[in-house]
Amino acid sequence: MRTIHKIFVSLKSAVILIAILTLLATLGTLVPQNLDAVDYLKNYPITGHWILSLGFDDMYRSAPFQTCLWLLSVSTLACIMTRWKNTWRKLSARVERASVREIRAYESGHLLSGRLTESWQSRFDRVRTDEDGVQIALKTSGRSSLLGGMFIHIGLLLILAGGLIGVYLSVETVIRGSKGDLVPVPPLEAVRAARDADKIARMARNIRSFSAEDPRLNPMREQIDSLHEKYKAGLASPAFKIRFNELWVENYRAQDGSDAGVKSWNSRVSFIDGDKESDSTLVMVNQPVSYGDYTFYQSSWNQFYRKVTVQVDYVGDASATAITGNDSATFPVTLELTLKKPVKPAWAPFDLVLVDFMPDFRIINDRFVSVSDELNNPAAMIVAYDESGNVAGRAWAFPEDRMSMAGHVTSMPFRFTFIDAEAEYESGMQMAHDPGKPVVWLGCLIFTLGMIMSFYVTYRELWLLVYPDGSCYIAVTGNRPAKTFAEDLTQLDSQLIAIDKEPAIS
Amino acid sequence: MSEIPLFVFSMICYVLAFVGFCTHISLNREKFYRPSRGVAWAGVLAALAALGLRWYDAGHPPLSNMYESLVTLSTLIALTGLLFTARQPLPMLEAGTCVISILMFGVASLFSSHTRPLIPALQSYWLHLHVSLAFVGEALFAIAFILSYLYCFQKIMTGSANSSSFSSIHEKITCYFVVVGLPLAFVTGMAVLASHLSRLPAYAERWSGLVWGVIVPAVVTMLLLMILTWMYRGAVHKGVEKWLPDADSLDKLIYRAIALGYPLFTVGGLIFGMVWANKAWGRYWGWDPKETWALITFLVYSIYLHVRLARGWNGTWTACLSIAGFLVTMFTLFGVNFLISGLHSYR
Repeated sequence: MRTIHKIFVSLKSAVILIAILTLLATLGTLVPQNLDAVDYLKNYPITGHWILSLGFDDMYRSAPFQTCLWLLSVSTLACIMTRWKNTWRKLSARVERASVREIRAYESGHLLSGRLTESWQSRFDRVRTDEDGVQIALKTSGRSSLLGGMFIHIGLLLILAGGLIGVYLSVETVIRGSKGDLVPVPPLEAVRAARDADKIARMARNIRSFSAEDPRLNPMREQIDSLHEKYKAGLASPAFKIRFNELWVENYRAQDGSDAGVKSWNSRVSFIDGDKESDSTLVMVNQPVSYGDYTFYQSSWNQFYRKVTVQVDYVGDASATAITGNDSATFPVTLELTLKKPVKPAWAPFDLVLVDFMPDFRIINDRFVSVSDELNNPAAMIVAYDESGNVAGRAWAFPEDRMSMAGHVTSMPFRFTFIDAEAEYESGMQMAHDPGKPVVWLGCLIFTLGMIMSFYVTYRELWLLVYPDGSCYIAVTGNRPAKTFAEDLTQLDSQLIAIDKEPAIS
Repeated sequence: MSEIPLFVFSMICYVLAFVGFCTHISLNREKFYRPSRGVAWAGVLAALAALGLRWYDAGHPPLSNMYESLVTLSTLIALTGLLFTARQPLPMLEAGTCVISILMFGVASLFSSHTRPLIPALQSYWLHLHVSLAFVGEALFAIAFILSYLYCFQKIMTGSANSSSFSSIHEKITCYFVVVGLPLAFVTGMAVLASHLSRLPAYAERWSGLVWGVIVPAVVTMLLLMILTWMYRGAVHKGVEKWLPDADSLDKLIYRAIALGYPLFTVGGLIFGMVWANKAWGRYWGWDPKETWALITFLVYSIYLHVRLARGWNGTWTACLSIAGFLVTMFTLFGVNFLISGLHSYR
């Protein structure tokens, strides 16, 4: 037990722990975090297995990193307890513990340059006489500096404690909504269940990439299902709902009146708890709002397109079901499609669904993606479903000047040409709950105070030794280099010297 | 009115001040010191005026992108150097701050100097507090770095006259590695960066600025200084003895610079950063690469303070820790933005 205590109290262990923490934190920035196991095995054929088995794919939640943090916490606690004894002795019994030899060894000290004034005792806080009859007097200033180190370590411990509370109890997720949307906010337990389900799902994915038959997978699947059920139940009976009343973007204006970048993203929301509805509140970047157990932050902003207008032309029987009972003369017709919402026009024998819309369409690595939110190269994907719900055809809609591409991807007797799309805003709000935060802020405050006391407050000890033969020695020491106390020493000297008319001590 | 002419003027002042300080040290002429300091002050005042002008034009403090960060830090380093030596003249340190300021300004020329409006996340008074306080801390780390470099330089100079200067062969190798290796590593690193940037279309017009503004002047000055130091090593040795305090005092000065900078960096860079991140992103810590590297900087200087204060270590090894701390600081400021993408990658 004593050995363990010695290890934790030792400064060497603390330095080693800080060094390991530094190394692990560095590795965490060099190894890409939170990828799937297959990506590590593919990108790092030699070290991939090590990365996964040591948990370095999620470094800051990995066992080595967390252990290091725990050990550092214990070491800090041990340091506080050891320091407290020394600090208390220094604060309460400094004169009693000081010896003549120690005071004479201070760099900044000399014999008093004249006779000692009679009222010298009033200038000192404490005076004692040692066994040789030497009177030892002490005056201190900046004693708070002695507590600085303690405060720094207590602050650090609180920050670590708050951080660890956060690791286990905090939740963080993003909710999105556009104007008029009413989004349910699940209770904390449900969001925690979703967070845990995500963690287990990731672990299961990693296990599966090694062995699809691993016996751990089934219980994990059950656990994930049960957690998902919990989350769904939370969504069904939410803690409250949030309504997105108004969303708008303010832009900077250039001198020529054109847009010069986003100035602010704004969401005006209200919270609905049962029958009660709160006042409408503005949420902006750097201006969060708290409600219930959560705080909401404006974290992202998307422009998206829900309604797309296309022109439809009849192009005869391509390959899918032939059009029946319609006069081709009625074409072209204009059709408004809403994302994911089936439409059954009178002229079509099936439901048409706009399944995807990309405002700035590109094909990158064989994948269809949108590279921006602007309507630079719009592309809409339309799928036709027959009465029994089977896919009857697919088509892409592009603007008129790019329709040559559509011929290759249309399997319907219609050709769709993109005309317009209505831009809508979608606000992304970070929703967070972290019970460790107050502890962290308290820790930060104490840590800051500790640093101010430790590094910026000068601690001085002004010493006077009065020998039985009447000779006197003065010295100044503290937490600064000796030469910085030269002025204090001169001042002390002049304060203690008796002026001619004043009686000197006998 | 553009602030660029003022910055150019301040750079010319730094160059002249550097030459003045070097002349003062090598020729041992006291009369060069005060004018050199005066010229350095003129450079700092011109740079401060330029920063003020830019602030007025842009409507926000010059701390929002890499160009602004580097010119602000460059000015703060020169200013801190002058304030640090206000009571105790240290011409070699003052010359060093001029060099770092010039190099930082040269690197800043890589980035666009156009003023741009602040993105929503940066529109907060925490920008002023977080970045400016962290930069003052980093400027003091730069002072500690120069002093640590001079510590190793002094060791080598006294070592050539007195073989007992080094306690072990490792210490000797380390000192040589710092004094000769660091400038070489810097020039090599800059050359690799210039070669990398020359292939990027975004830097097509600016990478040559790095070559002519940083690499070529650095190589020429370095070679010149090395040759002159070797040729006139006797005079340099005398200059070092006269114009640099003894190793113990130098070690205390390094500690003083770090003891002043560490709380400012910790409060400004880490704690204010945490408060701001909490307001803007909903969490005070997200292990973003910039955050993590700021923490690594804090940890390296924490190791320095622990070993020096509690274990009483000093000398070459703590000087090396201080150098490592500054290199980590520079990586946090500069390298993370280039090599690791994250929420803080403002260029």
